[in-house]
Order: sequence, then C-alpha cells, then structure tokens
Amino acid sequence: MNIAVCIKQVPDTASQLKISEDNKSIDENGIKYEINPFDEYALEEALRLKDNDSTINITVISLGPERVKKSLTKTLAMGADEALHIETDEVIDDCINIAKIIADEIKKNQYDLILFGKKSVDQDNNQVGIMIGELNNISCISNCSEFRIEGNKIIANREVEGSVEVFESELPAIITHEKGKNELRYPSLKDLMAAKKKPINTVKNEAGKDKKSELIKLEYPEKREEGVIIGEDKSAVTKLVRILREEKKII
Amino acid sequence: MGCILSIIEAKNKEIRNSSLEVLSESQKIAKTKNLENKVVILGEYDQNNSNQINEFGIDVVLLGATDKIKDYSPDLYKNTILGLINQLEPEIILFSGSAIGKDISPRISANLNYNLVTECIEIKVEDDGYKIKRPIFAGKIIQTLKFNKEPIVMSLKSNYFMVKKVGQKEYSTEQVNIEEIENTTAPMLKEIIQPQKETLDVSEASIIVAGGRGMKEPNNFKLIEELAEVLDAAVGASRAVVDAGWRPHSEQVGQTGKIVSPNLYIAAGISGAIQHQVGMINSKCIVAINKDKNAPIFKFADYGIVGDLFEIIPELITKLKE
Repeated sequence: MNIAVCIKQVPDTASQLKISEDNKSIDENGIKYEINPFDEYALEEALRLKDNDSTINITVISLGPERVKKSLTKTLAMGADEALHIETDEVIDDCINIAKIIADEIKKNQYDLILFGKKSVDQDNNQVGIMIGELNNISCISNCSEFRIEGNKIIANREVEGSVEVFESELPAIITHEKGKNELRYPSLKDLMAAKKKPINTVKNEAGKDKKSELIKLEYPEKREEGVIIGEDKSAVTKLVRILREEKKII
Repeated sequence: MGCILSIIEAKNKEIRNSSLEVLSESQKIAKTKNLENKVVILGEYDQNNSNQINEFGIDVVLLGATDKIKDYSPDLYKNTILGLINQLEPEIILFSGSAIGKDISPRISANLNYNLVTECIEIKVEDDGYKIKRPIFAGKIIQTLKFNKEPIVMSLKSNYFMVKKVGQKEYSTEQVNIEEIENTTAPMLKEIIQPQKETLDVSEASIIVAGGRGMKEPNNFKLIEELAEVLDAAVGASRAVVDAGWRPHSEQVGQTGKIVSPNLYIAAGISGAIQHQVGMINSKCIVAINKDKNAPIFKFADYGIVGDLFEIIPELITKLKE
C-alpha cells in the first residue's frame, strides 16, 4: 500500500506573532517553524498503519520554501520512507492554486491513501485536502478523528457538531484528519541524524499564475479591555450572579 | 438581474443557527449589490416552519429538503448545488461555517475553479469587488483580502454574525430536483453515532463552562458538568486535560480544538495559555475562576474570582438554583 501524507510547515502555536512593517506579512525573525499539528496527527495514523505492515510505503509531501526541508527530514526520522518537497519561494494565497499544484504531483503516483490535516493552524482555510479530492476525482472524507482500513475499503469517523458520522469509501481515498486519539511520536536524536542523510526529492512549480485575491493588510484584533477581579473567595459569587443576571442579562 | 445563492441547512426540521447567520448576511449583500436573494434549503425541513425564514428579505426559496437528502451526503449535496449554480449563475455563493459548510464549499469551488474564502468575519461590498476580513493564526491576526473576480464562494465563521431579521417579505418557492447518483465513488454515510448523553456541542452553545488542569483530576469534572447543566451550557476543556485523556477532544477549546464565541464563557482552573486564549477570546463575556491571581486569564477575562474553584463552583451552583 502506498500512502501519501501532505504536511505544511507553520509557526509554532506558542509563537507571539509580529506583523512586518509592510503590514502584509509576518516577521519571520525568531519564529520557530513546526509541522502543522493536524498534519502530525495525520502522519501518526500513517505511521501506525506501517507499524503493523512494514510493506506500506509512506511519502510525505510539502509545498513551501527551502526551510520546509527541515520538517520533511523530521518525518523521515519518524519513519516515513520518502519525502517530496514542492519548492516555491512565492507565497501562494489562493487555496485553489495550492490544491492544483499538489494535485498535479499526487497524480504522478498511485497512492491508495492520501492524508492531510483538517486545516493548517496558520491560515485556517480548511480547503486544500478536500479540493484535491475533487480535482483528482478521489473520494474524500474530511474532519476525521479516526479511521480503519478493511480490504479495499476505508471506514472513517467524521466529527460534526454534537455527533460522529461514520463514512465508508473505497480506496483510493483522501482523509483530512482532526486531532487524533493517538499520541504523537518523537524521533530520537539518532534517527534525526540518520534522516539527514536521506534524500529529499525536490520539484519546482509554476505557482501563482492565476492569482485570484489580493492581500490588503494584516492587523491585530482589537484588544479586550482588562476586566475586574470581583472577589477573592466564595463571597464574590453573589456579586457575579447578580452581574450576569441583571447587568449582562446573559443567564 | 444577478443573484446571490445561499446554501441553508436544516436539521430536525429547523433551520440551523449558523444558516440564519448566513441569511442575515446574504440579504445585506443582496441589497447593497442589487441582487436577487435566492436560498436553497437542504436537509430535513418542514415548509410550515416558514416563520423561521420569512423575515430575511428572501426572494426565492429553492426547496431541496427531501428524505433523500435528510442526512449529509457529499455527492448529493455537491450535485444539487452545482446543478443550481449552473442554472442560476449566481455572482456569490454563500455557505455557513458548519461541518457541512466546511466540507461542501471546497468541493463546489474546486469543481468550478472559483475562489473560496472561508471563515469570513466581515464582507464589504465595494464598487470594484469585495473586501473580506478573516482571522488567521486562530485569530491572533486579522487578514483583509480583496477580490475583484466573480463568481466567488464564501463561507462565514459560525457564531460571529448577528442573526438580524429585516421584516416580513413574500417569497416564491420552487422544488429542487434531487437526483440519486449511481456508481458513485464518493463516501457514503453508514451510521451516525450520537453521544450517550444528549450534550450541547461547544461550537453551537451560547454558554460554555470549561475546565482545565486546575480541576486536579478527571472525576472533578462532575462539578463542571453540574454547573453546565444548571446553565444549559456546553462543557469545554483545555488542551492539557484533553491530552491527559480526562476529556474528549470534541470538548477542546483552542488552536487545535474548537474556536468559539459564546455569550458567556466560564473558565475554571484554566490559566489561559495563548493556545487556549485564541480559541475563546471572542466570547462576549468571559468569567475566570482561578486560584493563581497572576494567571494570564485574568488579563482578558471580564470578571475574575481569585480563589479555590472547589469552593466557588458549588456556591455558584447553589446561587444559580435559587
């Protein structure tokens, strides 16, 4: 079985972000880049399948600038077999264009299963994996918290508001993954050193030809006003209930 | 006259709240751009419930709600919506940010090579296009994008727009033909697993009571559940307690969980790390209960009580029951 896992490199979620002077980009100084958390859960699912079946081949694919290679190396250290870097120095804003580039690369191989995180935590678009399904005519189940493979079928639990929908599809299929139930693995230093010697395939792309949007500006959200401490013990509760009931009228 | 097409979801015969938000926004855009305001209702809907939708300035209701489309089917939804777009040629196609909206809007957009803007929090119509604001980095930053090509597909961030009625208006109703698709490779819904206990989901609740590491052990979440019950609220959780396996991921609020904006958010024993903060900072009112007066949560909570939550929450439950 051939599995592809598509990952995006994003600023670490603990980062304090600073908008650059052009008001259109994030100041990259001091930012630590990590694999998008949802993509890591997707990768973990692939690695667990491989733990049980060593014939499985995992290719990790990532679109982005040179620095993306570091994340790809990390996935090789974690147990992925191959890494494909789709190199671009340009920032591509339109998801449909990102999806087309990755879809073209995916088309070149026969993958039985293609995994994505449900969204990237930087741009929060929630689009690319599902779009690739449509572009390449591959069945896609989005927002899954777990899945299993039975023969040529995949059965996946899709998280929706208040319940779980169980979907079934034939392979090949695309899954976009929620935070999973499985704990993530971390590569050892030894594996990391060994992975540095493994090759990363690189392809160039012709991105951004059909630009659809223009970024006007980035700004910080309005700051919340600092609130008040209404008390230091349970005697404050009466006051709180009165505020919520009578002043705010929200309970 | 051009038109705007809104995709409206019905569940248990009611229009979902996230779709009412779409109706509020679509009538505004339709008015500004002088477009016909058309909506398609998909899911389980009762036409006699029209009082839910007759005050949103709708011109045409396309009724796609039949037994065939009661539950979500990516294929049926996709083909129905694509058929309507083909027929009506809307300039704007508007979705909600629900689980269905998030799944179906990229499918539509990819099939038509239209641009899709998700999680919109402000849509401004200008002479030469649209200026759209959307949060990125889980709301740490707001991005403004400009689009001057139509058609365009947009989806709204849930719980962000006000539901705003504009007065009664007559509309015409047309039945939409929903055709079953044979030999499809699309995913098929096999089963819907309902939670053992009927619970409110954090993404839809207007009040959330959330607990963090300060709850000390999983059993103590009984207190949070009890308070949630009294307030008719959903239970939320911080990443720490979800990662520790105390609470399910569906309750997690934060950057790798759900991003919520209820009317009231009560955070108990949650320090307010950036990861959590971005998930709930847009709540209309935040109450924090924490024994550490230096906890970051007090910097952005509207009301704080510094103290032992094991004393304060039971007292709160008692007072609320009075």
